Parts: sequence; C-alpha cells; structure tokens
Amino acid sequence: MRARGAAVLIALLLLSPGLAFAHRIDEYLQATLLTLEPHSLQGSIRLVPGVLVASDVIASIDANGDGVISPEEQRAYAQQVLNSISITLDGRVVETKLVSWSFPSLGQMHDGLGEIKINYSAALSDGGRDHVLLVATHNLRQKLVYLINLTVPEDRSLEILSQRRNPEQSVYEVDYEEKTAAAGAHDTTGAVVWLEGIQFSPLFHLGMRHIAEGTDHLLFLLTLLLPAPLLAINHRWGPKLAARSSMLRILGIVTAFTIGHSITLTLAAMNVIHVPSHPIEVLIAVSILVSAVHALWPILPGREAWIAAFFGLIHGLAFATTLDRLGVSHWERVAGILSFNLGIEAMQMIVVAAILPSLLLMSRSRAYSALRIGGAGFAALAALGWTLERLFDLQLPVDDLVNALARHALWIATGLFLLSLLCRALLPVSPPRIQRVEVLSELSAASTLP
Amino acid sequence: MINSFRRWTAIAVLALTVVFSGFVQAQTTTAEVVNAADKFLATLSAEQRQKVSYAFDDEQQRARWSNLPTGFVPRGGISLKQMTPVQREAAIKLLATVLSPMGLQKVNEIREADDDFKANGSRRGPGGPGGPPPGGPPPNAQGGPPPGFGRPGGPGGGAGQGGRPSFSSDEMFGSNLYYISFLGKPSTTTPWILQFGGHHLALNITIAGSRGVLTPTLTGAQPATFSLDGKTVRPLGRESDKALALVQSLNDSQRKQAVLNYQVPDLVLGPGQDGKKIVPEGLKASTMTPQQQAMLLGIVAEWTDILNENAAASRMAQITADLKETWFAWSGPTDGKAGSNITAYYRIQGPHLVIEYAPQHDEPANHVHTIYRDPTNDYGTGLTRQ
Repeated sequence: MRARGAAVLIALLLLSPGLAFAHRIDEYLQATLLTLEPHSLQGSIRLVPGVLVASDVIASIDANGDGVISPEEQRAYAQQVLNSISITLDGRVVETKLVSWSFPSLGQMHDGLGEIKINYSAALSDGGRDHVLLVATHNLRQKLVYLINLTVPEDRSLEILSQRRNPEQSVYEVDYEEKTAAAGAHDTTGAVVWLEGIQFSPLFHLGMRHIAEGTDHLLFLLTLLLPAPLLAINHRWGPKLAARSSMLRILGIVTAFTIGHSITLTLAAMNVIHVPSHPIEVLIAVSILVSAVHALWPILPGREAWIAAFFGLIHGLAFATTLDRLGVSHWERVAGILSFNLGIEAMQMIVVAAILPSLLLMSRSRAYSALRIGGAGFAALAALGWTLERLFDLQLPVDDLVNALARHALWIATGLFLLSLLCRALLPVSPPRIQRVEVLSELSAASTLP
Repeated sequence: MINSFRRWTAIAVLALTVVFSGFVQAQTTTAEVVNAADKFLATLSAEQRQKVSYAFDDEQQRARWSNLPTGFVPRGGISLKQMTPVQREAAIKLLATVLSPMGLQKVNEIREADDDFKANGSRRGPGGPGGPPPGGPPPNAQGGPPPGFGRPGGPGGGAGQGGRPSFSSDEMFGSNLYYISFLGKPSTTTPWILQFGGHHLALNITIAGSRGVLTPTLTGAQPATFSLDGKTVRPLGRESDKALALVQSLNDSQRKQAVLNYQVPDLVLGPGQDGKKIVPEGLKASTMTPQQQAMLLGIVAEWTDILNENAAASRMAQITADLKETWFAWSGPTDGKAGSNITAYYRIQGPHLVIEYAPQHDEPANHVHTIYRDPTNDYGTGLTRQ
C-alpha cells in the first residue's frame, strides 16, 4: 500500500513540479519540546524530512552508503544533531547528553513521512533565582525549519517570565525564576483560593451528573432504601418501624454508602490502588442484585448499612474511573476529589430527599409491600440483565429500558408521592406498629386514621 | 397543619425532582447517539463489525490518525467506500446525530475538498470551473472511467496527460476514503469513542454518559477554497475570517503582544502530541475588550460547535469560564481580507484548550491544517480512566 502511495507521489511530482501534496515537500522540520525542571532540562526533538530532501537526509545518516541504517549510524546521526545544538544557562555552557533516539524505516523517510525522534537531557547547575536559558540550533547539511516550545513546568517553583526567539525559531531564549521552597510556604492566599476552587469546580458538577446519570448507582441505593422502613421478622419483611427509626436507618445507609465510596474513590484517584474497570462494572450489577434480593427477603436484616458500606467501596472504584488527570499537584488532586465527592453527595441527597417522603408515607400502608416487591423485582431484573451484559459482553436492552424510566424520573417521583398520599388517605394502616411515637403521625394525627 | 405539611412536602418533592430530571434529561442526546451507533453496527456483517471495534483503551488505535491521506497512514475501521449504500447511510446518520448541522457540513466540505484535490490536484486555474460531480465519485467506482489526476484539458492545467490507473487515485484521495471506528461499545453509561477520519480529518469523539468530548480533533483542507456546483466552498473559511477580524480589531499595543515575531511552519501539537501543554504566548484575553473576547469565543465555536448542541454548550461554558487565562497568538501577515484565506498561523490556548490553525508552506492560502485539543481531556481522559 505504502509503496504504491510513494509511486503515485513520485509520479505526481515528476508530472507536475508545482503539484503540492498533503505533507512536507522540500523542508526539513525540526520540532523541539523542552521540559524544564529545577535542576535539569529535557529536550525532545522530532525531525521530519520532506519528500524532496529525504534522500539527502538519508545519505547523511547512512554514512557508509550501504542502504541500511545501522544502530551505530543512528547513534552517530543523533549525536550529530545534538552537536548542532548549543545551550547556555546564565551565559555558561550546558553539557547535553543523548537519552534515546528512534528512526523510521527508509521507506517511510522516502515518502516524506518519517519522523526521527531524539531525546536529550542536560543537568542545570543550581543556585540563584533568576535564570536565562538559551537554546541555539545550527543548520544541519539540509536547510531546516524550526519549531521550539517549552512545556508548562510541572514543578510549581519554576515560573516562566518571558520567551524570545529569532524569526526562524532557531535561537530560543527563556527567562525563568526558581522560587525557593521557603518562598512557596509563605504563599498564604493559596489556602483561600483552594477552598474557593472546590465550590466552583466543574468536578462538583461532574460528581452531580455522575450520580444523576449513573442509573446503576442510583438503583443500588434506592433498592437498598426500599425495606429500610420495615422490620425483619422470621426471614420476612414485617411491620414498619417508627418514622424516626426509619429515618435513622436511612441516614445510616446513605452515610455508610458515602463512607465506603469515599474511601475507594480517594485511594483510586490518588493512584494508591488501581483496579480494572470491567470487573468493577460486573460487581456493581451484582451489588444491585444483592440489594434487590435483600429487599424481597431480608437476607441480612439490620445489616443494610454494612451492605451499603461494602458495596460503597466498589461503587467508589467506579466513580474513580470518571476521574483522571485531576491536576498536577497533590493539593489540586485532593481538592478535585473533594469537589467531585461533594457533587456526588449533593446529588445523592437530592434523590433521597425526593423519594424519602413517599417511602415513609407509604410504608404505613399495606400497599407498601406491592411497591417494595415491584421495585425490588424491577431492580433484580435490571441487575441480572446488567450482570449478564457485562459478564458475557452481550447486547441486552437493559440500558435503554432503565434510561427510558430514568428520563421520566420527575413523573415517577411525583406519581409515587401522589400515590403515597392516596394510600395514606385511603388504605388501612398495616398492623401492628412497633412504636407509637412517630414524627409523621404526630404531624398528621388528625386526619390520617380512617 | 396536615394540609400544609403535605403541601410543603409536595412542593419540596416537585422542586427536587425537577432538579433531578434536569440532570437526567441531558442524557436524551446520548441515548440517540447510542441508538444511531447501534443501528449502524447492526447493518454490518460480523466481519465488518469486528473490523470497526477496538477496545476502549487501545492506545494505538486512539492515536491512529493523521492529516495525511489514508494511503500513506492507514486508519483503523472501515471506509465509506467499503460500505454498502445502506451501511453508508447509517454511518452518515450516526455522524448527523453526534455532530451539529454545522459540524456535519464542515466534515462534508473537507471530504469534498479531497474530491476536488483528486480531480484537479493543487494547481488552481484562476476561477476554474468546479471539480468533481456532486457527491463525489460513484460509490462503486469499478465500472466508470477513472477520474485521473490530470484530466486532459482540465482546469488543473499541465498536470500530465491521460488517466492514471484508477486504483492509485482511488486509494489515495476522495470523499469515500473516510474511516469509521469504535473504541468500546456504544453505551449511555460507560465511556466509548467514535472515530471518523481520513485525509485532513480526524474526529475523536469520546462519549461518557451525557458528556461528549471532541478532543483531539484535526481538520484541514487542500484546496481550502474551491468551487462546487458553481458555489465557492471554503471548508475552514470561517476559521480564517473570524480570526482575521479579531487580529484586525486589536489596537497597536495589543497587536504588538498578539503578533509573534517568528514564523510557525507547522502545528506544534499535531498528531502524536497528545496531552502536551506548552507555555502560552501572545495576547491574554483578559486584556481584550468584551467585544474582542466575544470574537475570540466565536472563533473557538468553530471547533466546539462541531459536536451537537448538548456537548458543545458545556464545552463552551468551560472555555468561557477559562477566558481570563486564554491566549491568542498570531504569526504572519495581518492585512488579508475576509473571504480569502489567511496565510498566517494562529493559536488559541487556555487551561483546557489548544487550537492551532497552520497554513502549510506548499500553498499557504489554499492548504491548512488545524488541531483542536484539551490537554487535560484528550480522548476524554479527564472524564475516564484506562
């Protein structure tokens, strides 16, 4: 394919000397990216010979002209390129050394597509605060065109003050300042800026969206909440708990989930642990299945908080997959994780707050069993579907179905609330009650009992 | 009391669910995109489907894009040319769903430019008549006469006589040599990437939940001005005109900062330079007038708005928030006029943005490469890990 392409190209060039092509023709591009650290400089050079200068460049590399570029010839050419570069720091010559180099195939170079890559490094003497670094490149045998740029220093103690170049970019000069560690510590406004950054961070919104759209996370939590207002007796879900106990239990579940996912999210986002995402996705589907089964028959009665905490650990790992490249410094990362986590919490609270009143109201009536069994059944089916999908890479319409429902979350939540009011007003209260002191019944004592 | 309790609960629930559903609504578009992707994939044979599918974290396939013709740098996936009409229609439908109408038009014009290049080469007769027939060469070009590079007496003039073998030109250029590929399975929840590209085009679209990320994306054109059906087409014309208007709106001291004293012969952060961040130069947007700032965002919109409205809006919000830390640099003549392509290079750079517009030396006003990146979020790595 490529050989044919080259043939076409050469034919084109012969037929019509002015016929330009989609790439470099008669230029030899030398593109350099410099990376500055407190005591060292790394240079990474890309050399791209245009198609009309390629054979000349190859001849320079293939010193013995045997049509093969040997490792020795590669090294020698890389050194030759490096020798054409002179670097000074504050007027003193800086020694450079080759780090690595790679050469394309001769065919690629003939096509004008080859990229020679050369990496070098230089030690920079320390001492002093203000520095001027100068990098000057001299022409090789062929005429070069240049690009030279500095990457943003990762080390925040380095501040780039100004850059200057000649019109060809073959001479490049940068002024920079090296702040001492002590100077950094006195940066008092940093903490304030940091705190402000958290609230306005796009990561906060990302966290919110992640919960709002991560239907599997939501389904897990909601399913776990379903039996929360009930008491398990003899491996069956029995009477309801007092509203206060229910609230405490729900609070416990949500908090446990938060603690669980915060731990793993932080560990994973700080790169302490790394778990591939596929098994996590499967485990999340399983977690929904477990909480659905639990909502049907109390397999772990009274242990909802522990389930929430345990699976929270797994959901946290999934949250972490959404986060990467939070920032360069540790502080940025910590602030980013905090923002993201707060966003998750905020959205979780909103959803729980939207559903909680309905659950509490409805749990007082017999209709609650229907809701619990229906909800848990749906969650179980969805979870089974997801598990199969993710385990065997199948294509099932689970996402479509759940998302279609999620899109009508507003109507479902409103409907549920209206239904719960209706149940409260019309249906008999399920006997027996464990505790008579209830927040809700106090508030609504006058009209609720039929 | 009870009534008021119920009323307040109802109001609270309504308010909260409105907020909640607002977040959920955003997913509608992703579901549509996934639907269109699944429909396209369903038209493929098992063999084709395997060919277009890559692992989400396939680094090689992620980076397998270029400004070069596909004959030189083979892309992954399958090309429009290798598709049946039904498959092609589904592929275009998918593009129309994930891209904005403007984005789709840009993509089509870049492809049409390649048809024109195939027919006429790069030598433009002054005001020469249009290039290839609309819609490019017939889908199955086996039977028809080969277009050839130098059509005798063609507007290209002087570019050789007689047709070349059809395989060579057909394998190198043309609006059907654009490839589609998928990294990961289309999903409304787990992240995946849609790639579409060929000569002078590389769209890398990462979809993660409701978020759509277009970075890195390369657009380019040669010819950058051509006529088709009697109309002048400039695939990247607004990118040129809007930037020229901004640089011409600068006062002397602003211009002194914005216009660099050195030549920039090519893209600095082109193909292969993923995730790199260079020290910005030029004029800081914080020193621009509100009107100039709006013009700057208007240039950026030529890239952000390639994606559908849903994804473009949140991206533009991010870039607007970064405006104070955004830079505009220009290299080359500032005295052009709207309607003809600039020969100058420019770069727009912010904390989450790199845009470069680089005229190529062989034919500066008629051959351009551009790159659009978010060094913190190329291939959506800011949203996803792996």
